[in-house]
Amino acid sequence: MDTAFLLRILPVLLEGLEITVALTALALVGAAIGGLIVVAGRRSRFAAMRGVTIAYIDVMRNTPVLVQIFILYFGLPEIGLFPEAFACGVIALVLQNSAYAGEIYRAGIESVKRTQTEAALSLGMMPRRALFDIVLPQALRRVLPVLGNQAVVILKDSSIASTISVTELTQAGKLLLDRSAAPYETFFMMAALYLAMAAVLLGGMKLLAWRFPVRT
Amino acid sequence: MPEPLPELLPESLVVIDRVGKSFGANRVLKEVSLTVGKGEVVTLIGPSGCGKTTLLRCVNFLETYDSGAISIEGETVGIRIGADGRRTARPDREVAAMRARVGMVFQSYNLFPHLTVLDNLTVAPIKVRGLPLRQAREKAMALLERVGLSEKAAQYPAALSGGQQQRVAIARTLAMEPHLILLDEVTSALDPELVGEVLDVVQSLAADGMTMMIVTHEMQFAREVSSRVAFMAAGEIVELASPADLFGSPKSDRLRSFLGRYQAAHRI
Repeated sequence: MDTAFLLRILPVLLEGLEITVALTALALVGAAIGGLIVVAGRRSRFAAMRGVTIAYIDVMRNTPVLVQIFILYFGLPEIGLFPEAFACGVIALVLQNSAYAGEIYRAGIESVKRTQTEAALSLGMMPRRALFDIVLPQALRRVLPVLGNQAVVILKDSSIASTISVTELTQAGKLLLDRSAAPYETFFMMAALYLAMAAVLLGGMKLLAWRFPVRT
Repeated sequence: MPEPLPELLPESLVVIDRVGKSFGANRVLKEVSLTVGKGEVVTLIGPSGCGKTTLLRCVNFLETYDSGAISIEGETVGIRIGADGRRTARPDREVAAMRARVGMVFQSYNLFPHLTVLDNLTVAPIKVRGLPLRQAREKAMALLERVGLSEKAAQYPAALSGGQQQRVAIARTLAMEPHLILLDEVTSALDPELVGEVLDVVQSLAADGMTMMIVTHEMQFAREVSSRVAFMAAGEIVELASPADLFGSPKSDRLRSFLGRYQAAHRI
């Protein structure tokens, strides 16, 4: 392996990495919040709201994020909207992962015993406060590892934005490849960078899990 | 006209008026009526499935009821009954305000496992009553002192024994300064050697004049702590009397056979 070559391509890849980090960070925050909306709809007292949410979850989870990106990027112009490629990438990742995050939250909430809510209510808390102050903190701790895995999925899926000309890490690598014809070094470097970012994400989750341990 | 003796005519705090409830086809409460005076300790005993826990849970509306009415301090619980007799649900806010004045202690303690013992005691006073943090903590420490657990303030519930957890649960309820406390089989989940420490705390509350409704299987305790004891069977109150009368001279066959079976089971 040509280390001098690796060092030469590194700055180009790091520029792509910046875009990947931005894509992933925005999608993470968006999906974390979107998931709350999804779980609220999924657990709504109104059947119609639950129905709409279930349909949303099914559509989002059972279609490839690649197709969703194409619909946004190539479909929206048909109705007169021309979103930027980067925005399309973020939106597609948020739409799909909000569905996943919502279902992960739900699994956590339903794993907390009903008696916890009863204890909170019997102390005079409103149902919403019981959910936010008593149930959610316990639920989130339990699903932290699963949320961590989903965060890595978002990171990896951000590479799909390369198909609509966002120069994130994968696209940067592809462009390098066209110029250098050194696939082995380029893709090895890319993989190492993705691995490093995933390690940071998972390390962060480990830290959170250490700071907020599950207690029973 | 002479003043009525307060011991004989206590101001009623809870009025349960012909309350009925069904789970599907199963009628768990059949027109149950019961009044609890201020400062009274009323104990509900009876065989499993007789409806005593359901009745207790109706009093703070953790369980809805189908007919009749429960009032606490003159206010109907969970529902409003119009002049024409129509029943409408009370908004969450009103139900929560009622529950803030009614404490409940559960069989399985139900402490909040992610909060320290101290935070278990302060979370509701701070979030529901709006008490300043410092004041809430001082009060919580005083209550932990009272149940003999002030050295556990910084621990998490999982580090405590069952008896200690239940004493914390009682202190958590007291932190809201309730006018009435409901205790639902608070010693049933405990190892026998831990029962005493919890009953001692309940006993001390009774001595302080706290109004309580207690569901229990501990007959000796019921005898010692109660102002009156209600024996329930098949969704009805079969007998209601002072502990001396109820345990000393049971009138109905059902109570006699219940007490007989209890004594047989507890003879060593």
